[in-house]
Amino acid sequence: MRPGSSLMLWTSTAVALLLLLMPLPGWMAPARPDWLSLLVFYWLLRDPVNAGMGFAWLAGLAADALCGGMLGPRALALSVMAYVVWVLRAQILHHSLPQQMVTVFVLSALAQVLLRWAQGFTGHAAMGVELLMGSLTAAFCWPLIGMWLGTRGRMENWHASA
Amino acid sequence: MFADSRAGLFGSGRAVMSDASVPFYWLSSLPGRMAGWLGEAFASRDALVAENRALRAEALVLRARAQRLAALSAENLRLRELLNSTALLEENVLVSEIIGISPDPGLQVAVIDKGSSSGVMPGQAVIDASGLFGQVIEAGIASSRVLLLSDSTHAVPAQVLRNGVRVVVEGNGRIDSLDVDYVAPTMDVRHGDLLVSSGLGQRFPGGYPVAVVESVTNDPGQPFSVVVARPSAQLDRSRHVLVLTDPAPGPDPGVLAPTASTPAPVTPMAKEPAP
Repeated sequence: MRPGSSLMLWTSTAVALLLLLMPLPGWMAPARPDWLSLLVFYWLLRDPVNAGMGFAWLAGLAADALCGGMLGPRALALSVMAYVVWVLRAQILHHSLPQQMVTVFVLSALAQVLLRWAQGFTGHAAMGVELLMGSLTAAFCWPLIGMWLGTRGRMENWHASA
Repeated sequence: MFADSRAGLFGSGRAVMSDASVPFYWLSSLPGRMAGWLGEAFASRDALVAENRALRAEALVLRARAQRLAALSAENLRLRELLNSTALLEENVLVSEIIGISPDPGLQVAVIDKGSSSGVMPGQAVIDASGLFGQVIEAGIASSRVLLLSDSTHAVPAQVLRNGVRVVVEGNGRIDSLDVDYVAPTMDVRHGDLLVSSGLGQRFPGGYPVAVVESVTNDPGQPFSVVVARPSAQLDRSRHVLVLTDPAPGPDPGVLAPTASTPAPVTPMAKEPAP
């Protein structure tokens, strides 16, 4: 691990939280990309030693604190997602970019479903298909982030984990 | 999660979190604000003059109305004294600005820039220029969170202004519509009716506009009509809101005392909603 990596980790987390809170026009708000899932997905592929499930849990908890409401659903959803990424890490790194996009969509959708299910405990109404919109836009945002992983991270990671 | 939602273990911690999240909301809304500032800085003089003129005209109209209101409220007070019921206290309001809206589409929460240092407490009602807006659910020191009317966990006791029929107005998670629950097909609720808060739940003061009925659908197979209303407050557009800091929430003796004389004018036709 390079010395600047930890700084990058927390800076990118702060940026993801800011993007999460960024006001969007009404029609666009349901399609807000699921930035937190992208963040966790990226860092678990890039640096699983420093950014593991604990990182996902902390990032989710911070997002819960910012969004208001019950404390914990995002922490739970992201931890579960992080576990799946951690288990499948070697496979995902060998996937092509379109395949990775599908993986991002499926895992982010899993996190969203878990999140809404947990929010259901406090009596929130179930959402329709629009709950997957954020996952879909996140999948389309992945190439922007994944390319970066491809040029800078992949080889390094492969050696690190091997 | 359970420690938070059921046992409330993080009571004071939540207030701290509310305060700590303010810089994030402030930073994330910065680009939008800058656009607003630039727009103001470069607005043409004509536009400003026109706006100024329109505001003057509006202020004149409102002042004229306020004169009548003073006479009416004095008369109201006298009549209430005759009826031997408690006088309606004049509510103290606190102007505050909305700093941010929770990004979670399943949660309709706004963050405002006044907190417990200004006398905001959980449970206080929040209104905007055109109607009831929501209620305070968490009060930090310099910020608090407001649950909007349209949140799917929120409900307001209300009544139809035209005839006093009591209803419950519930949020459904969409910001531009509210559900009116337990309306029997025989109840007199029509398209265009204004629903005002009835004050029956002791949480919201009575008499504030809540919603306007948009549609009433009677399905013979269902026990209740499906009634959809549009919130009077501009839930998605308001920038400034008023927090009603007085009367305090909870059991207030001044409000609870006259149990015999309910101020709500209820017609004999009105039916109690079935449980």
